[in-house]
Amino acid sequence: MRTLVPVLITAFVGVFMILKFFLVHDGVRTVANELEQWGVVTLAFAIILGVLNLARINLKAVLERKRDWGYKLILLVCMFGMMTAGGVKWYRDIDAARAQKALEAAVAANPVAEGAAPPPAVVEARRASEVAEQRAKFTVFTFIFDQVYTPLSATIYALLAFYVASAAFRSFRAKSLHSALLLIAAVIVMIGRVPVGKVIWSKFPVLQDWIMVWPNTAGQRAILMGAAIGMIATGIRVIFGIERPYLKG
Amino acid sequence: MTTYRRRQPAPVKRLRGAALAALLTFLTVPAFASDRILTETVTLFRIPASWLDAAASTDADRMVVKFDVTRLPVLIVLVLFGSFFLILQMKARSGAHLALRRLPGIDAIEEAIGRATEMGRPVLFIPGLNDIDDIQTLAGVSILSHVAYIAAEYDTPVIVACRRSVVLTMCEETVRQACLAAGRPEVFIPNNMRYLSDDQFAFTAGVNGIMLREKPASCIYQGCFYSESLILAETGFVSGAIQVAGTANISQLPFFVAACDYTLIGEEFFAASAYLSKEPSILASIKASDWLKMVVLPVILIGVLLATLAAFEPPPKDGSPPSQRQRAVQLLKEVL
Repeated sequence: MRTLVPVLITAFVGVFMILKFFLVHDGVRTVANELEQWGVVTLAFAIILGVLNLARINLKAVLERKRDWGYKLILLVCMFGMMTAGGVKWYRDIDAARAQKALEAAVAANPVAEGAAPPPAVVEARRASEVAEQRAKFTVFTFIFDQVYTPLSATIYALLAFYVASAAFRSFRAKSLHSALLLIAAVIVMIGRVPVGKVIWSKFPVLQDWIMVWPNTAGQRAILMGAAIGMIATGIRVIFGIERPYLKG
Repeated sequence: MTTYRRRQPAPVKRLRGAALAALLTFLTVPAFASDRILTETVTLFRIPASWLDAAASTDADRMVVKFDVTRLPVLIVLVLFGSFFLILQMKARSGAHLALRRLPGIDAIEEAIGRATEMGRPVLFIPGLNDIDDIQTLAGVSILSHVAYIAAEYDTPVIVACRRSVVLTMCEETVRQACLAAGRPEVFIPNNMRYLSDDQFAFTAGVNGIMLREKPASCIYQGCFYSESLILAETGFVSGAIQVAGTANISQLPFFVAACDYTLIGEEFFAASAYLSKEPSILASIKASDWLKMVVLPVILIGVLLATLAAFEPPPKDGSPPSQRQRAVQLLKEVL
């Protein structure tokens, strides 16, 4: 029963989603969309599991003063610090929304003739709304996100440039016929893509274009078709319970 | 007197069957195609008004269930695959041996775990970046099950780094179950199942940290990867680990091929769990996908031939209908 019920649920939902793919009907589409929404919500809630895992492993390492415990402490401080900052931002967002509503209510309750000065209640509500909006805009959370997280993320991504160079250096060694072909194709494509390539030989851009459009596309499509058939096979195995990676427990 | 017919070798039979199926596909598809070639819907059945409430029964769209003809090729592939699978499964159940070609990348996984055992260091496994709604993640977790089983037999710890918390839970149970199956439950270390971050580059930084601090002897990447693939693989190379990757993301395959020792490319990655499990029904599905490829291949060849011929034809004048050959090429493009 422990295995059968999840397999039946998977088969039912899987077959229904396949039907949705082929059939055009409002009812089928509505139910399928609803099921997809359930999936999204369930996955979103699962973030709690991740936070608990992170806290458990790193807190234990810090308390037991294991190797590199300092890094783990920094991680915990950052995680809980960011959570707190996020909470504060959330509160301020609510406060700003409340102030905005109060302003709208004050404007509705105190109609002003055209050209006349607004009544003190409206002025006060507007000032309160502006202050609340500013407080919601400039928070520790926003500051850390914009000034710390985004640059760090970009830094890690930028490492890719150096890694591409080192991986290319290792790969482009003509040790065999295949690697020699790779080297020749890569050199033509690289030279053909920079302005100096055209200066060296006017046909370099044409040649690189031919390599990218024909042999490269053909190879990619071959892999794509194989992968698509593999995906269909794996999908059917999972839907009909022949392979059950989701039930390993 | 008994007469003996010479039995044709299996590959010939298979080729004949595949060619026949390809021909059938090729002939069946035009039957459904109209002038607009695979761009319409056909009514499958009408729902009786008594099945619906009064408001719904006045809505014409809700009364009719239509079939999307643009998706007909997918249906044909599904039906063909299902038929092949059933035939092969029956064969497998009757005791026939379903042979699969050797995949060096999968053999290398065992080698990688053996190396980790010799060096007394852990194995690092990453089941891709996506959540469990991605089929590549499910395939990756299936491979993890085998990796964890072999590692448990060798008494080697496996570190699993996850980007999604649901995947983490699944991996945790997978490794626990594999250790139990190997008869070594004590090898399972819960703290080696690690959720790092939902953010792509924070996760990458976390994995790089594990590689450089804990020095795993083998890094196995199986799943869906994006631009972080080369950052991970190069860091693994710098740390001196043997690396086996597998993904169906075409854009990331060159990076893995360049930086890893072995790479499972596309379909190999999906076949890996079947290859490792040796279960007849799973092997049958892999053979079925091979048969399906044998069907697709002649269709592609016919398409290439027709496209080449159509290229020599003058383009149709304004208002005049395209030639039969151009229509056939257009149809094949949509089918493929």
